[in-house]
Amino acid sequence: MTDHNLSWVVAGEGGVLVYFAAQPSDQVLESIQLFRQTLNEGDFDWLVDSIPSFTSLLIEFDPMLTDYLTVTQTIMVIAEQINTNKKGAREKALIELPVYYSEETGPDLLSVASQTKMTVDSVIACHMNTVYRVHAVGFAPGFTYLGTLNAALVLPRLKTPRLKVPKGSVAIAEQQTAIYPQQSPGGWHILGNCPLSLFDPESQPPMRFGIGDQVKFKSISRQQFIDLGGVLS
Amino acid sequence: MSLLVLDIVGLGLIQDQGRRGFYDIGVTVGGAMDMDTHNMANCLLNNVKQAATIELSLAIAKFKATETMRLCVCGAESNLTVNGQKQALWQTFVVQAGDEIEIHLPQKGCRCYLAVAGGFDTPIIFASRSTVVREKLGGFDGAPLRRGDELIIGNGQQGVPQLIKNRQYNQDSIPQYPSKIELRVVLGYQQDSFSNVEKRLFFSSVYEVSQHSDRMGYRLNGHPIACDSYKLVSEGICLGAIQIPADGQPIVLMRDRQTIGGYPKIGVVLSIDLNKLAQATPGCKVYFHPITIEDAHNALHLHRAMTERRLKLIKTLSQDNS
Repeated sequence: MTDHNLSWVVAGEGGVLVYFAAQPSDQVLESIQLFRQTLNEGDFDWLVDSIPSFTSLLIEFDPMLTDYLTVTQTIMVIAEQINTNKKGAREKALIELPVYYSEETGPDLLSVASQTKMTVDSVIACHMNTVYRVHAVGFAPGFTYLGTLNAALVLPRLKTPRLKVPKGSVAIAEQQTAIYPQQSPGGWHILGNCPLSLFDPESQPPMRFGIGDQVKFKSISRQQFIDLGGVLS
Repeated sequence: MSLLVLDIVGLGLIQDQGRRGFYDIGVTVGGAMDMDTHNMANCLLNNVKQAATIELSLAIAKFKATETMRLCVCGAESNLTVNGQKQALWQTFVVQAGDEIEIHLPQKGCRCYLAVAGGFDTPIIFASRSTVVREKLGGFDGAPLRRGDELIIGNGQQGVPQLIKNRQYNQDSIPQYPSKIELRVVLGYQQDSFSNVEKRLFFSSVYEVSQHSDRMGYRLNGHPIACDSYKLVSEGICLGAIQIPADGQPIVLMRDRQTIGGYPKIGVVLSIDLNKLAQATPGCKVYFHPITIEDAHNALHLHRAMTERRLKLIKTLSQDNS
């Protein structure tokens, strides 16, 4: 693991957003997980929780118990600690997820094809031919941000987010791809739908996979989608 | 002991302090939108801090008590009746088995909090009773309250319940619901991606609350704000973060916000000012005012002192029933 050149910004009265790198990578992922673990082990009374993401960690503190200076000094101390405490990457699981790629489940499939100057079939192939890694979970329960998308598919987010994106939608934006585990608003380009439930609060654990795990997509037919419990809106 | 939902039009949700400690699986905090008023309702009944209330957002609702219980309604200016008789807000009252409690649409403000001595005992999921409809968590399978729901009363009360008389807040403690509000903002996140001109425009413009505002975010309409770069890797979002999407119209992220997102953020609204925004209805005018993080912390300490003073000013009513 290389040295951590951390930087941070204010995130409101009770937040510090720590950046680990400009771009996501497997190494950055490991650093953030190690930093978060060390922070949690510190048992600080002011620590509310922290949100790990691709290149950053949002640390939430109770401003009635501490101040910004104390939190940023703690960040520097932890950065020192993890530089001297190098750990190897642990073995990751590989999960295969079925996706029905179609215009009826992927309303942005045609526009993605025209914007990337590819055929619909090559957009699908391009999306399936990568083994992704879970870089973050967030936005909604069980919403896994998967990286890294093939450069040919990289597009900015929609200018105005949709108010409703159906559950199971498989979508892309920037260098990322994801599956919407619940219906929610969203600004990503939708390519298809995964019929499996990805988040169940009654299960232990509530998610099939977590940060750091590997994910691959498999194309299925309309009939297979319906057989697996998929819903067409 | 329970409270029955006889009828409800509009959004009624069980809320408490919200859930914490589940960010790594993407579970949001949730919790009462106007946390101050929710806390005031619980305090008036001597409930524990974790007690759940019903948050009614632009709703009309009718409930029936199955036994004797003490209640109060705090929040938006609405008509409250017990068996058709007018009952004051911000004041506890006792109802008997069969009594009907009706809350009408607010004339001013957006949300009312109906609290009961002991709190509502709906299932706890991920350490909270808060309902987040988008996540299908809390309340009754994550759904808003419906006709026929039976809300069991819990035992989340401090002290000896029968010794508590009816109490009411001092008139000065009751918030106003103006049609124009100012929100204090701590600059942060991608503030460097907004030019000084854009920042000045943001803090000198008047915005209007859009009808697409909800518990997740308040969408505002007004002068669009331009950002130098929209290429952003998704990152953690805190309560009150002001997101500026490419159309330039600010969105203030509220209790049901997503935990991670990729739109640029210019800063964060002071948490205590979000209570005011939570009571704003579409068309309400919003101004932003920049403050330093030190000023923000001072404001929070001052707010705590004011909250304690409000509790000291609570009046005990001589009559046990009003």
